[in-house]
Amino acid sequence: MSALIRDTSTPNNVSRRKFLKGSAAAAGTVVFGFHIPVSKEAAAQAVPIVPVAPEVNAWVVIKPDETVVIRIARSEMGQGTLTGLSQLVAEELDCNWAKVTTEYPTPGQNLARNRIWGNFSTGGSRGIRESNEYVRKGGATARMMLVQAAADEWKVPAAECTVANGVITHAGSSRTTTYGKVAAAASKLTPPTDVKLKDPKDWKLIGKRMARLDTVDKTTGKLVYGMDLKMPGMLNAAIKRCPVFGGTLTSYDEKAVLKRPGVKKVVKVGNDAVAVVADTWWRAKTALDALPIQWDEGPNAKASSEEFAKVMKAGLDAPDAFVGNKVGDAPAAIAAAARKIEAVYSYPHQNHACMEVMNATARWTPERCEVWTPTQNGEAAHAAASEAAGLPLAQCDVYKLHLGGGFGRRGAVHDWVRQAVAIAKEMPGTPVKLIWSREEDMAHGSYHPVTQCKMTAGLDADGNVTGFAMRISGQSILAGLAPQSLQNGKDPATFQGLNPPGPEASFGYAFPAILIDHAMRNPSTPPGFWRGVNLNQNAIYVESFIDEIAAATKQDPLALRRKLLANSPKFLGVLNAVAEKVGYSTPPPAGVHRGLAVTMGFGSYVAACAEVSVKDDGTLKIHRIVAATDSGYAVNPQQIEAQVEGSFAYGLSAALFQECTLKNGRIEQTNFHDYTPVRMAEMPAVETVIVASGGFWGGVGEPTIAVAAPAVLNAIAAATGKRIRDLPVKNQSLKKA
Amino acid sequence: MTAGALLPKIDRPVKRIDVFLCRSAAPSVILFALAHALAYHSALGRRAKALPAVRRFVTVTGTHSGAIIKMAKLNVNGKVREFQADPGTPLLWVLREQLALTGTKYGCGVAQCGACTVLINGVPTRSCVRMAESVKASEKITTIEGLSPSGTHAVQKAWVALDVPQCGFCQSGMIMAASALLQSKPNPTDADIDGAMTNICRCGTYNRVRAAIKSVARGGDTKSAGLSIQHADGSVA
Repeated sequence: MSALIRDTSTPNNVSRRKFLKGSAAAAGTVVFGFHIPVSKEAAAQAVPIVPVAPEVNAWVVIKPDETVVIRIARSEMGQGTLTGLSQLVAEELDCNWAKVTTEYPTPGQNLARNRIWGNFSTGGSRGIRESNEYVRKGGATARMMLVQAAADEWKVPAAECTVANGVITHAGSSRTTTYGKVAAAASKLTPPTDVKLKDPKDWKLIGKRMARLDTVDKTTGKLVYGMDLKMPGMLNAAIKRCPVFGGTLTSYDEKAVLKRPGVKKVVKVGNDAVAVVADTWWRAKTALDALPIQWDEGPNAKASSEEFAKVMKAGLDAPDAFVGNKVGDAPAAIAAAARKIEAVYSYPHQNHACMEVMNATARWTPERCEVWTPTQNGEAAHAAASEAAGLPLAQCDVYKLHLGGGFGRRGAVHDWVRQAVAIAKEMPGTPVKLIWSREEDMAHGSYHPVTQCKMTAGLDADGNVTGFAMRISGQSILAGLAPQSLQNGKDPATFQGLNPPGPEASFGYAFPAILIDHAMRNPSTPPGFWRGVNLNQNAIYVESFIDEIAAATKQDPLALRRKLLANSPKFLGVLNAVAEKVGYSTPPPAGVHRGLAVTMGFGSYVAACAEVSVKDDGTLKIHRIVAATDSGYAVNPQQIEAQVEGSFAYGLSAALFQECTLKNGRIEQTNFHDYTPVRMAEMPAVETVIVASGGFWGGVGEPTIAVAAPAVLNAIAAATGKRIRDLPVKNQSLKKA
Repeated sequence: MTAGALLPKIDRPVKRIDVFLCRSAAPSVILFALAHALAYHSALGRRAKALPAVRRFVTVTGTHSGAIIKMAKLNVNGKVREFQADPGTPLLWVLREQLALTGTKYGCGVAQCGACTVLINGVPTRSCVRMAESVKASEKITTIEGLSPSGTHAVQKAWVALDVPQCGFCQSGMIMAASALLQSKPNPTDADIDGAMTNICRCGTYNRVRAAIKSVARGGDTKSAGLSIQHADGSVA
């Protein structure tokens, strides 16, 4: 989920170029539409397709009944990007918002048209901030073509025509027409090259609290998620992969289950998994439970979190480390300081635990492979399907279905797609839907990286920080997921929120000397981009330690932050917005204590203040959280608020309750009873301040997660005098010190 | 979005998944069933002990062929529906796979998350751990598809007005739990809401769920929630 997310399964550029060259002839003649072929006959044809209406351009189709179809390349997984991107296109298109609907192009279509829709990858809070310019241009270009078509019909200059809500008017001759009437003519025009975007002050839709476009079907049960797909003749599969990471499948006794009702086949999947295919998933799953399986647990059979913690601890003082941020000579400054403070923190593995478990439906024939799946990256799923199918990309396609959550799990690794295709390959022509059990989903995540961190500050006699050192020891996401993206061995993503000043994820505090480095130590657990990614633990380490410095030097945590952020105005902006909204200048109610946090990531600045109380018996209550987000432009404020609230639910679930621990090479937690999210009763009230300072496009899906935990940890310390340095909080006693 | 643009041709009920069972008169199938029954009974109840529901069901109905049962009936959304499933099959999977009612979701299978919540005689029930054969034909099951004929139950209207769902996967269960709560307590307190709404939402829609429940209690006044959401028809909730 970071800007560094890589499609680990995309073939290299050479093969992609080769493919594009080969398909160039076809690309010019592709007729468009977005039907999924459902019959075997239809499926046998290569993306066929009867056009519903001619497209004005790649982003906009307007039907004769005035329906405006906006094409969305990114995946909607709850974060609201589908509505936000539609607002961007519609803003420039000047169409009737009430007529807007959306559709996904497929990655196969994107490839065939030289990636006309750009990047499909949906992670790193990049949906809007990365594509806003070209999707707005898509809307503006379509508007110009539609107006030109009307002007041509009326034989008047286009400049004399105006447009609003999809109605084109020529005031001079009192004539009007609509987009639906001129769309066919517009589609034949040559697109203009000089396309100007609106000045932000003229925006009518961007910045408005528009309702989402995808809500109604989520309240009636009609929306089809990946798991809900039904196809004629479809079979269902359940799978078990060796529970020990790196282990392999030795043998299984298929005779034990083949005669069970509905069971069709037992399939070896790769070298480490076995699946049962049956008429229903319940039968497949229960048969799989009854299947005797022998695993070779391999070299990691004894791996444990406990042992790996020792490895990370040793890394805290090891000489080998990659430097992420260096100002002056921090070690020397600390050595020469009048006083030194030091603290060691740790952050565990976590599973994304999307509400909808991993699933995909695949149909394979020797000529073509198709996959229907919820994915954050249709192009990566396409590449994974192609590899698993043993067919070129041009003979494969992926149809994105709605995602029951993503959080990073459905973006970088498409292990479930590979499995589904491998199973379907054993049953040519038959669509097979693979659904993981929740237990399989817990056992085979791509886990939040595990790290420890030693924070050190040198202080002068007046309590000023003279040197700041931060040693991270532990797991690298890129080393596990995409080693080709390492930079001379270094994982730059590790330093999210700790980088020198820049637009993505920089460190805001001004210390005279800084050294932030990383001793890379990788366990057997596969890492992944977990919503918020490395900013999560980095903000916990930094923001907790800032409060430790404040406590050690008897300064108010807000005053200290303001002093250290004096030259970081955007950080200060959100911090001050939170302080004002929470009423920081007046004390909280009796028994209630406050904690602050501020950080930058995914191009946005975020801050939070938590108000908590802790009873004598250690019971924690989070009463309220006030949060501020500066994403530059705020495309849909009510959805930003939803993302901020959701970020607290996700971040607090992790901070308070969630860890995935390794024992005997496997993850110990198996379901929501031992991997507990925050529920209604634990969810605090959230008040969100949107600081839209303008001039840049920041992400909103992730950054706030990073301030959830440190704000609460700082408030707990204020309430109890106890500093929690190891997460999750559930493992610690909060009884007053 | 119009996932509908992508899916209408696929999203139709499969006639009968259990083609195999429908053809149970075919001689080869009878042989198969006998063989299966022998294998089943020769296990001498080992599996039956592990799966008490299986044993109970076999005893009660007298069906013989191992895990296969005869046609059974459920009253779902006001209609009597016939289905076939093996003993021990949770109601959730009968709804999803036999009756093609996929609005009810699988999330955990162990009654933790509530994504599978349906009403049985008005009582919110986690259908992933409720064996289908334990539901009597006289008991009325309501799923999200049957909450209101047109999707305009007061709870659904409030959910739409306040844009409650994010990914939406848990929302069928949330809506069923909320409708049951409001049925029994038209003016729930925060503590009532905390107690009744134990469903898990990973996206974190809890605060809007709470706001929407309260708006229903206020007779559909969504404006007091203060969200000022602008709908495509020009209304502001």
